[in-house]
Amino acid sequence: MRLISSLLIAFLVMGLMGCKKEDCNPPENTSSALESGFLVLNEGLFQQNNASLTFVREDNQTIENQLFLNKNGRLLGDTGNDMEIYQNNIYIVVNASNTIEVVNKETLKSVAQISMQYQGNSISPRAIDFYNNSAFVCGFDGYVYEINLSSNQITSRFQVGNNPEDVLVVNDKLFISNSGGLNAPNYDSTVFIYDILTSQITAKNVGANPGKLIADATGDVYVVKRGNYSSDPSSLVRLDVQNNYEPIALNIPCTSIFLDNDVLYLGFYDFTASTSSISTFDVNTESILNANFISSTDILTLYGVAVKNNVVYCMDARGFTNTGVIRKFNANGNNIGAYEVGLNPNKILFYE
Amino acid sequence: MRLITLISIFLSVHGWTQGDTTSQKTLPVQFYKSIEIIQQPRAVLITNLPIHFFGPEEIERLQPLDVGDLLQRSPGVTLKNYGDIGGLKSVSFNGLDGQHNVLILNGAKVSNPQSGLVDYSKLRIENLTSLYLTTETDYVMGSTVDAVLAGNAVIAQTFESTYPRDKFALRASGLYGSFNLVDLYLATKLRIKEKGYIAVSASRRDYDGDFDFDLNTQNVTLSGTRRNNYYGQDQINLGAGYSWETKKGKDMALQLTSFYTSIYNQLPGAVIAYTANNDENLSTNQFNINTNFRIGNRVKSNRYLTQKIYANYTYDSITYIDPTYFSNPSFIEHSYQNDTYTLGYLYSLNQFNRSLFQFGIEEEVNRLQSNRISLEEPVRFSSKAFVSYNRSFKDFYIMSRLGFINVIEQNQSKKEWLTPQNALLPSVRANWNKYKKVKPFLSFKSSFRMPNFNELYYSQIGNVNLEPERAHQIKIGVNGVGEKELNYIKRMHFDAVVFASHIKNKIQTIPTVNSFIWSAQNVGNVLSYGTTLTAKYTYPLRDNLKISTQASATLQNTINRNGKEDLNFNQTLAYSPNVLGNVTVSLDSYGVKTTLEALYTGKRYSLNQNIDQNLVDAYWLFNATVTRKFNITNRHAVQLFLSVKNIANTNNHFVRYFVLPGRNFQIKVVYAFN
Repeated sequence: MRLISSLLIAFLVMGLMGCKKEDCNPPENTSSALESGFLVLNEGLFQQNNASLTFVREDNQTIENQLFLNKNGRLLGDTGNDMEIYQNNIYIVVNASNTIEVVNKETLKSVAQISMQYQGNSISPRAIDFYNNSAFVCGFDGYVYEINLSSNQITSRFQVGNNPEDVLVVNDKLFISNSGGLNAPNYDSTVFIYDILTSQITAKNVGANPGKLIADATGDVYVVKRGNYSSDPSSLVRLDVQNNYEPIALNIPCTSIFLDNDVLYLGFYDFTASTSSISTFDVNTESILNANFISSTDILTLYGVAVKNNVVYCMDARGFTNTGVIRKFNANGNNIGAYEVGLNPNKILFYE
Repeated sequence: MRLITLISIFLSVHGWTQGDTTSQKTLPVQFYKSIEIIQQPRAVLITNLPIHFFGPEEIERLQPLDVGDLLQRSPGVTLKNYGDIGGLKSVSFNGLDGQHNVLILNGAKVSNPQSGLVDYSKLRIENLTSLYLTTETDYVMGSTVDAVLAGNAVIAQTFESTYPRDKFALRASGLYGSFNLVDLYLATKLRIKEKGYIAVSASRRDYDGDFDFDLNTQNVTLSGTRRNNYYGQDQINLGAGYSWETKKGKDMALQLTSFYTSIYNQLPGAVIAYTANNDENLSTNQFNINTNFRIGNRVKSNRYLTQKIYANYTYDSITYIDPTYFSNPSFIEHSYQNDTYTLGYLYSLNQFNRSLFQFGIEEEVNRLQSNRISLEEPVRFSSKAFVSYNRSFKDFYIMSRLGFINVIEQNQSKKEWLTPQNALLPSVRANWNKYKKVKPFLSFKSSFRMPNFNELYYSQIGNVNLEPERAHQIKIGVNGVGEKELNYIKRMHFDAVVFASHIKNKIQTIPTVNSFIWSAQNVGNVLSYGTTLTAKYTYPLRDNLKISTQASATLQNTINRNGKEDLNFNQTLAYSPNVLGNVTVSLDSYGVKTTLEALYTGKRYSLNQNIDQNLVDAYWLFNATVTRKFNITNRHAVQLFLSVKNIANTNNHFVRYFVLPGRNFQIKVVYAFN
């Protein structure tokens, strides 16, 4: 009996020692730390609970969809609108679920889920930006909420315009674009400038239905004014930092925007003609570099654009009800590849 | 005293006395497909048509919640169910969606031109005496021109529209069910001078609707409680009729039916992960009045001429409220009023057992008003007509029809006229009657549906340039019966139909600008094809003991046929299950009727892209009903019903995330006098 027990124990020990780490712990489908690629936020569709994350690893051309579900065993939620990195975490704004998912930026494991309800009412959060360990989140309820990132709790809020669409921190100021989209056709047309230090607010009239905000190195702020989707088309407006942020209508067709160094990449989806194009704009000379940098029939529904190392990544929503594709174009505007991702890709974060 | 006590409790009975003067004991029921009921059945044409007929007994056995719940048992029917009681229920048939189908209630069309849909969840069943679904209406007198020309028609008749057998009849019922469901019903009918009647009924439904759910989807489980789900409905129905014979031998009949319904229901919406704050609600008021005047007289020895004039008015008022909508001001209150006026004439010359010549004309006016400026106050004028000729031969029966529709429409706020729309709509059918037991048929039908007002004008969704949808249906099938009879009714029936439907200029609301801005578009062509199989069998085990079974299966595919440039070419359209089926087993044992039912809804996609992440699981529903009737005297009867729905407690949703309730029960007590 003792011999048998000893042999069993010996076999057990041998088995453990002989077991290579990769045999006993089968590799995960993805590496535990994300690298050499980019993370995509797929917005999904309202009332479908199908917002998701996709990681594309470009060195070995692998794609993993449903990454949040795979990592955390639960759904990301309904309508993922924004995604930003701050310090060690990624913050994902999930609009219809009224949550902000906080995940570790390397592993995408959930750190916290912030409930975006205020006194029992839905906030309907849209976008997020950060300032000194606080986050500012705009909600379609017409408020901006400040969240303490240590406690992940809402600490205060202030009222802005109708249905704010985006927030952007530039130096000590917070810019808020107020779309008024839920009041169509009576859109809002203001960008609020909130002084974080003094809590003073000033409003600038930029045109109907302002959306995405972006700032260049000089402090100029650019906003996509989306108009009324018919007689008033979508175009670019600049808030001139040298002139107290007075709006200047640049009249450049634009539905999405991305800044790479000193070049703005302006995506334009013409929904009446169903065509997609990208132009480039030099923020220093404040002039168009190339009005037709990319004009490809490969892109069915341009929903966003991102640039890394002179490669342009176009987020193709393919009609908004089919899984999206990230299409790559080189510095000459030639199509060099594509990756199939989730439904309505709207944001990309790059990993070295 | 016991009798008085019973009378004081609200009870109702299904189908004891329906005033149906055509005796089912004398007429072979398998051929009872299209029979016009006048005081004395002078003009009767019997054909065998591919329909599913729900009679009083079947309605009683199944105990459906509403007409939508009942219709899903029809082969070929897909019920799009947004949440059971109070949730929108629309019906598509053989691939043609709800807007290709019309509802004819007591001979009058019931519809809403704004949505183009009938919400079958709001149609009660307590006073329903018969219901059937058909593509073809051979004998048009019980219908309207619009129903004859529509893709498909649901023909329903209620207690208030049928002539009474007795001088006085009373029905009452009370039901209590899970989630605080309460239904009350009271109806009475009085015969006037042997040839007339007046009837009135009233009903009330109250339902809290807060049920728990555990919905398994995408390999995770969403749990919670369905809230903001209250439903309250009050309804009054009136009916009156009088028939007489003139000195010249003409049969005359005048009939009037009317209903008013008032509904308040909360809207829970789809289940959304991590949040549950819906507080929207909808108030609906609908009023309908319909009258028709009929003349019938014999023309020569073997011909009978029937003419009918009908007029109908429907008023529909809907108010949608979202008290916390993020707009300025911070709420929504949208109100809509629809008026529909219809005037029509039908002519039918019946040469007995030989031919039937018919024509009809109808004018319909629809108007929409709203506090939403963007809806433009449209007025639509629809002129419809048809001419048809049916002929019986020794072994064949042929039905041929040519229809015509002209629609003109004005956007009143802009004083603009839309492009007029016209359509010629042929249809033809042939039945082979050589053999008594098996009767093949072949049919072709063209139909047409205008875009509804929402599709044309609603806020950013509307598109005034929409073309109407045009549909063509082909069916090949066979109806059959067995040899043996039970109480003059064939014990076995079967139907097998192969169908194909093509829809051109299919209208769908799709995102265009971004995922939040949707608009109505003519997206192209849809092809729907498949087969429906139905079999019924009744077996008498002994006296007072019989078993009946019924099974139907629908195998279908509804696909995008827009061309290879379309991303979803040849893929199945959203919410078009490939497989539907139901099986019912009923046991009648010494007055106790037990019915077991299994309903199957196959997998379907939530979006038009056929990928795994869009798949919505198939599910089974098992229901059981037990009923016992007590004949207190030969005039008074009480019937008890006990139903358990979704016995297996399946957590399911037809439309993704619009969860349906788990296991629930209903107890019902019915009283009938005469």
